[in-house]
This record gives sequence, C-alpha cells and structure tokens, in this order.
Amino acid sequence: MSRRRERRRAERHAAGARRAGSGSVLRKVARAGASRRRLQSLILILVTTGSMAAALLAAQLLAGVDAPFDQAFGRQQGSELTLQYDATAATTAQVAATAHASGVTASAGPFPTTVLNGYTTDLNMPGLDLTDFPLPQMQLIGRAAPGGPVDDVELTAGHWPTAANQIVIAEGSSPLDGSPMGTTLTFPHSPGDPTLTIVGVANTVSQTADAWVLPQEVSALAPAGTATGYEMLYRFASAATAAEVTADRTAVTKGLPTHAVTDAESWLTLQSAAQTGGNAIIPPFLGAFGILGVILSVIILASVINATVAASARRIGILKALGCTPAQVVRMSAMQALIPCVAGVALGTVFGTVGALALLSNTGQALNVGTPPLSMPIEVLVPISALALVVATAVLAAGRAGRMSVLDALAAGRTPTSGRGRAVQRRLARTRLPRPVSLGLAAPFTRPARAAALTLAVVFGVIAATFAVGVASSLDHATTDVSDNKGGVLVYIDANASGPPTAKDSAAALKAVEAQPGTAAYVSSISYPMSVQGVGEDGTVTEFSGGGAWSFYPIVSGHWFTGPNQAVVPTHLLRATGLHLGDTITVGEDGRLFPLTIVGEAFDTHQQGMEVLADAATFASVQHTVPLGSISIQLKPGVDQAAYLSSLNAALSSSNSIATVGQGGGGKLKLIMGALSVMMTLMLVLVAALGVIGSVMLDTRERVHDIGVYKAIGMTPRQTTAMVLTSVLSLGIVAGAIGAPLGIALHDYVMPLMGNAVQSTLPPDVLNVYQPLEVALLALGGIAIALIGALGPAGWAGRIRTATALRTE
Amino acid sequence: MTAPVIEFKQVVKSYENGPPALGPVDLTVSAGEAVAVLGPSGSGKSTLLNLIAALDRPSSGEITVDGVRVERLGEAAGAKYRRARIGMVFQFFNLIDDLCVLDNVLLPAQLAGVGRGEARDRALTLLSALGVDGYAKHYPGRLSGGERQRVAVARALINRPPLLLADEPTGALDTASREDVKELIKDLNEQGQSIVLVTHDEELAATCATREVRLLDGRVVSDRALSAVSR
Repeated sequence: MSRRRERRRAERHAAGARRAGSGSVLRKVARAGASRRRLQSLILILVTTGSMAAALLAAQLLAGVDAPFDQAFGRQQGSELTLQYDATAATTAQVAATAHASGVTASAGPFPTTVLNGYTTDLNMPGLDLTDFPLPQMQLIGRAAPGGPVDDVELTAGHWPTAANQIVIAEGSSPLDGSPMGTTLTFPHSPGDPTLTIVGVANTVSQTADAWVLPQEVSALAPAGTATGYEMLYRFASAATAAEVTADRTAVTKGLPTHAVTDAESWLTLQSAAQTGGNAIIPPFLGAFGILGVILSVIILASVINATVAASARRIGILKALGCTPAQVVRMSAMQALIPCVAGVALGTVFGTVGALALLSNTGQALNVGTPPLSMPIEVLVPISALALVVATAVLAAGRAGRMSVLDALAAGRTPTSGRGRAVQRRLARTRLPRPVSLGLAAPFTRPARAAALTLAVVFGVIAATFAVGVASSLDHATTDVSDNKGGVLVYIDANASGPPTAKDSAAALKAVEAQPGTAAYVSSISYPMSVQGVGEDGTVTEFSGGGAWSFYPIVSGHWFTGPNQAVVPTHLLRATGLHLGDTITVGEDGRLFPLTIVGEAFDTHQQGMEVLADAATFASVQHTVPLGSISIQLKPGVDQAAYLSSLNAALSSSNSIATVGQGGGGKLKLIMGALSVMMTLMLVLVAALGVIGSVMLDTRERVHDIGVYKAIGMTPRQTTAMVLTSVLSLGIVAGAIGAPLGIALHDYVMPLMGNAVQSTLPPDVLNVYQPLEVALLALGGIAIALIGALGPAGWAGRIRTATALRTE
Repeated sequence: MTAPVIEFKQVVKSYENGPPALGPVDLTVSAGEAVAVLGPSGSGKSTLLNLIAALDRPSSGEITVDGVRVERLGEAAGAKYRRARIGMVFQFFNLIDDLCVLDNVLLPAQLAGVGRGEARDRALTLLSALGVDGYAKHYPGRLSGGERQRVAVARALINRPPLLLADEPTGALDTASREDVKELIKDLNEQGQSIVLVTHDEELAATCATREVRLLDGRVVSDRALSAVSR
C-alpha cells in the first residue's frame, strides 16, 4: 500500500518536474524570441503604449464627463443652500447658530463677505486687454482655508492667501478667468485704493464666491458706506427637491429677523443650469471621442498582436518540428507577445494617466466643475483588460499557427501561398500600371483579414477627424453666428461698468452708436424678468429695438418676428410648455398681459432657454429700469472695423459701456472644445497611424525574402518603397470612403444629442456644416493616415540590402 | 580572344574586421565561357557570386562586369545593373508564389519598363524554349523542382542579360530534374550565354562548364579549362 503511494508520489513528482522543465524552456524560448526580434518587440511596445494610453484616456474621459456636476458636487461636499446675511440685521452669533437648525447635517461659515465694483486690473494678455476698464461686481468672501465640511473648494492653481494683499479668483469668474498668477487688482473705491495680487485660482461648484481673501481683509476692502455681510453654507438631511430645500431654508432662518437673508442659492438651480446650460454640450461630444478611442485601441492592439504572432509562423514551425505540442506553441506565443506588451501597457498607463489628468483638467475647467479625479477602478481595469486582450489575441492567433502543418509554417517569410488575392494579382498584372504599383495594390488581398483590420484602424482615424471638423464647424455656427447680421461686421456693446449700468448709461450708449458715421443699423436688446405662460414668475423676456432687421439667434424653424405681438422662443421653452409655432404665449407684468403669437423657434441657450424674444414695440407701455444688454451693430460698407471700434469706445467712455468685436456666446467654451477636439483627434489619428506602422512593418518583415527576390531581379529601392506604399494606398482610399460618411453620420447623431443637452433643437445651419470639398479632403485623410503610417516600413523595405533580405529567414 | 565579361582585380571581401571571406582574388571571365566555381562550404563561392551581382560590395579591389564598375554601385544602380546585365538563378528558385509562371517571368522586364506585349512574347518564347510553356498560367507551387528551375531560368533570361549567375542550381532538385537542368545550362552556354555557376556538384561542373575555378578559404587554388571530352 505504502509502496503504491510512494510510486504515485514519485510519478507526480516526475510529471511536475517535466512540466516545470518544459515551462522553463518555453519561457526561455519566449524571452529569447522577444529580445532577438527587437524590431517586432519595439513595434509591439509602441503600439501597446499608444493603444493603452488612448484607451485609458478615453475611458477616464467617459467616466469624467458622466454627470460632472453631480460628481463635483459630491466631491466638494457642495453647499445645498447658500445664504447671504445682512450683517446689520443679524449678528455673527445668530448666523452661526443657524448651523444647529433642524435638518442641517453640515455647515460652513459664517464667512464675511462684501461686493466690490469698479476695480481695475493690469491684465493684458493677447486678445484680452483689460487695463483701462473698470470691471463689474465681484462677491468677495473672507475664508481662512479652502477646505471644510461644506464647499470644499478645489485650488486648481497657486495657493490660498497667506497675506493681506493676496486674492484667489474663482474659476469661471469672468472676466478674470484665465488671469495668470501675479496679475494685480486695484480697488479704487476701497479705503486706501488697495492693490491685491492674484495668488491662486480655485473652483467652487456651489459658486459661493467670485474671489476669496483672508477673513480679516473683507472689512478693510469694503468700500466706505457699503454694508458687509455673512455667507453661510449648509447641507441637509434631505434636499433633493425644491420643496425640501424651501423647508430647509425656513428651518434655518427661523427666529432670525425678517430681512436678515439678502440672497439665497439652491443647489438645484445650479444643477439645472449645469445640466441645461451651454456647457452641457461637452459630455456627449467627449463621450463620442471616448468611445471612438476605446474601440480604435482594441482594434489596433488586436490586429498588431495577431500580425506579430502570424509573423512568427516560421519559428512556430521550427518549434513544432522539434516536438513542441500545439498547446506549448500557444503558451510560448502568448508569453512572447506578453513580454513587450507588459512594457507597453506600463508605459501606456503612464502616458494615458498624464494625458487624462491634463484632459480632465481642461474638461473640468470647461464645465466649471474643478478637476474630476482619475477613476481608480479604470486605472486598474483598463491595463488588466489590455493584457487580457493581448493574451486572448495571441492565444487565438497562435492557435491558428499551431494548427498549421510544420511545412507550411516553415515556408513563412514569403508571400502567402493560398489562392487569396491571386485573381486580383493576375488582373492587376495585366494593367498598364507600373509593376511595383500593381504588386502593391494587390498585396492587401493576400491577407484580407489583416488588411480589413488595418482599414478599420484608418476608418476610425478618419471618423475622428471628420467628426472633430464637423463639431468645430457646428460650434462656430452655433456660437459665432448668433446673429444673421451678415451684411456687415458684428459689434457688441457689453454694459461692463464701474457699477451696475443704468438706463441712463444705455441711452448714452445708444446715442453714441447712432452718432457714429460708420453705423448702418443696429439692434439693441434688453432682458428683464416677466411672468411667462408655463414658466411662471421666473420667466424672462428679451425685447429688441433699433432699425436692424436681423435675427439675434439662429432660427430652427419659423422666422424672426416681423413686428409687435409676435414672439420667438427657444426650443426648451416650447418643449417645457408644450406650445408650437402659431400658438399664443402670454407674458405679463404687474397685471398687464401680452398675448404673443409664436412665429419662430430659436437656438438660444440664454436663461437656460426659457426666455421669450419679442419686438420692443410690444412692450412700449412698460417702463423699464434695467439697462441694455447689448447692441448689435451693422457697419456701413467699407468702414474699417478697428477704427470704428476705437471711435465708438471713445464716445462710450462716459456711458459705462465698451465696444468689442462680437464673438457671440461661448467664446471660451468654443476655445476649450476646439482644443479638446484637436487633442483627441490628433491622439486617435496618431494611434491609427501607429497601427498602420505596426501592421505594415510586420507585413513587410514577413515578406522580406520576397522583397529580396524582387530586388535581386532588378527592383530599385524607390520601386520597393513605392510597392509598400501602394500596398496601403487602396486601404486608405477605402477607409476614407467609409470613414468620412461615418464621421458625418456620427456628427449628425451626436450634434442633436448635444442640442438636447441644452434643451434645444439645432438649426439646419449648425447641423449641415460639411461642404463637398471638405468631405473630399477628409476622405483623402484616409490616404494620408495610411501613407504616413506606411512611410517608415516602406523606407525600411527600400533601404534593406538585397543580400540581407535574401538571407533573412 | 573574346572580351572579358567579368574582371576581378585584387578583390577582397571581409566581414566585420574578420579574416577575408574572399581574396585577394584576380579573375577574368571571357564572354561565352561557362565557369563553375567549386569549393567546400565557407570557401567564398557565394561571396564571389554576390559581388558579381552587386548584392554585396568588396572591401577592396575592382570588379568590372560587362564594362560596369560594380564595386561602386549603390542599391538603386545595383538593381538597374542586375536588370540589364545579370540573370540570377537560385538554389531554391525564389519564384514569387503568388504570381503565376508567366507573371514571374515577366517581372524583371516589367520592372525595367518593357511594354507588357513585347515582354509577354519574349517570355512565352523562353518558356517554350525551356519546355514549360504549358505551365504559363500555373502557379509555382504546382510545378516540380526541375520545372520551377526552368521557370527561374526563363525569368533570369527575360532581359537578355550578358551574364547568367546560378547559385547551386541543382542543389534542391531530384536526380531527374538535376539532369534536366544540367542539359539546359549546357545548351544555354552552347548558344553563347556567359554563365557563372556556383556549385558543390562536381558532375554538374564537369558537364556544363568550360572552365573550373576552385576556391579554398577565400582564395583561388585552381583555375583550369575543361576539355570538351570531360563535358
């Protein structure tokens, strides 16, 4: 009995030793394969690095743009209710005591606060010279540190103030947004005209401040005669609905004097603005790029691994001839692919993480939600998935190679001998094309699966480029071309003032515009609150006056109003009220009602798309105290825009207004989205080109013996290079022909989603942006990507010495 | 005396500062000669052939083939030189498996820019002369070794090169095919084709060559004309 057990143990030991022995030999063979085939390993490292970086970046981006406001609000412990208290109506102790009100789970404050106007800055950047202009109001908060149980402010640059003359600016706090560190602000209305230096930029998704200083500085900066106040931030046990927030507010302010609260901001308002404001168009846009990036990375990685293993067919043949089993061949191939890929995955993780940090920072800035953090599960899952993909592809490809007969495997290094592509080869040989060209054109047909994968990679590159060009063009139409004042140059007058602009300022500005000899016509706009049918008391009406007859916003359907009692309304308002073109919408003020016929649907995201646009004559009986919003001016033909601006600004100096060249809305958004789309497109095109390089290089190496034969019988290096380049030319043509329409289709699918994100239907001008010549050029992009990717391998094929190529096994 | 088609003057070829793989060698081959280069493995036979074909460059010395100074040629000029002046036959045929027989033969002519019609006529004539015209539409994989070598010879001759280089042309053939190829080479030489063939096969040399050059350790140790009787 014991002898039998001993024998079994000995057999198990021997089997284990055999397994260990074969495993160690296989590892040695795999390591030798990876280190001897340096170029192949280098290609694998490069492609894996590029694919991995792109996939990680894309995945992080997808996670980062998923409900960005909610993410940031959770991260920063956002303030669910922000209350401003009048310091003369409530004491610090009274305000502080509100933190203990029923339902409050966390609070921060009271923070001293004041509002500053008319400060000046030395900010003078290219395209933004603010040195001579008094700037609009800024809510200043005194806060000792950015952190806290509520509104955990994210410092995105610089540091928190440590001295009296330092200030931190809130991200998105126009017009100081983007100011470099060291920019100074001078407050002429504050005692002693103090000058503060910007030492940091911070993000508060709860928008609790425009700027921060140390608490003790607030009273020193408050202009003489200006009341200071307190800001208090709260989080509650329940604040998911407007009713709950109202109840919370009641609980908090219970027992305080009636007018103690001067202002209140619910987080629901901010959330709604974030979800429907202009920035809401970013997530679908980046999401599309993210998905493209992940798919492209998978295709490239899988196809290059597959090609690498296929290129090792001869080696597999030798190993099989020496007695390796198919299973051992598969293990060896997987190991051989894994060695360089592990390095590539590691490098790609580093590059992808660095890129993702930069991109998330940019995206966060665009969305005004701070910097979304890296998702740790993605940081772990994507590299593991990449390695799993490498192993799975290598095992599949090696399984195929393992099933090849030894003789077939040993014959590798030459053009595949199957019948595939022979018919094409024969037909092309009979054309008048130069022989290297016809040989190159026929090459993809000998390896149709590899050619298809390569084509697919280029297709994705072309889709990305086409989509990016389309989105940029659409954004251009949607933001720059807000008015159809195409007859002249658009000039906007923004009422940026050293105090809240007044109606008197507006009258002076209009007078100045009318007096300019270069003015052909103008349209001025005023926005004011009015009750709007279906919206309630929170509605807004924007009325337009002046001689100009152009629309302020792109028209989705219908037309711009042509007279009084007509209204143009944004899509969001139509959807919210269930009204249609031709219906009547009633707006009112102080009991006076104005029924307006809806004649047009506009692409307008102002006021979250809930405003009514109408002719000022409709409201002639209403006395306004609000100033003009802007004036759109059409210049007479031949008038120099710069000279006009200079002359007008001189005339406006007493009216608290400045004239600038109109960029419409979304200037910053457009810039950031432009930068993001360029970055993403370049990355995807680069990864696609890397895929081409890898695939063509492996293919060329695989056919090196044939290349040697071609050269031996008289093919010149130039002809050889041309042959390799033309081998991808047809793929580039096909990829362009497929990719450009698919890119347009993606644009046509994503743009309405972007429109829906801002509760708007997009006008035809914004959707139909592709011109035939542009589409043709984008389709040619497929050829460009393919040729750029194939240049390296083609050059190598041209340079390799004939004798070396002939000797290569 | 006929003009020399190959002239080696003090040619030396070394690899990576090692001892010379060949040379110094002085050798002259006249037009119409069939020279068999014999020697054991590592004697420098293939190096000699590669130098003649401009597949490799000598470390020193001068090589002139059909009036062309070969040692100075770059890759592009070398390719054009091979197109015009050299026909190459390899031990393992080196036919492109994905091209049919006719297209394989046409390839050097097409690379040289010869019109397809003209090249096709010449290719079919050669294939017919070599007895493989029946396989013009076949792919090399379906042919026997001897037939493949005949196709390779046709490809080598398509551009009417003054010199045919053959590297172990019977090395991969069975006995019947070997005889076949021997006859072919002999016939070609009798028609005036200059030939340099590198071989281990003494019998091939004796049958086909008009002259025998023996190499040992990179040097010519014997150079003698073969009598018609021995052929």
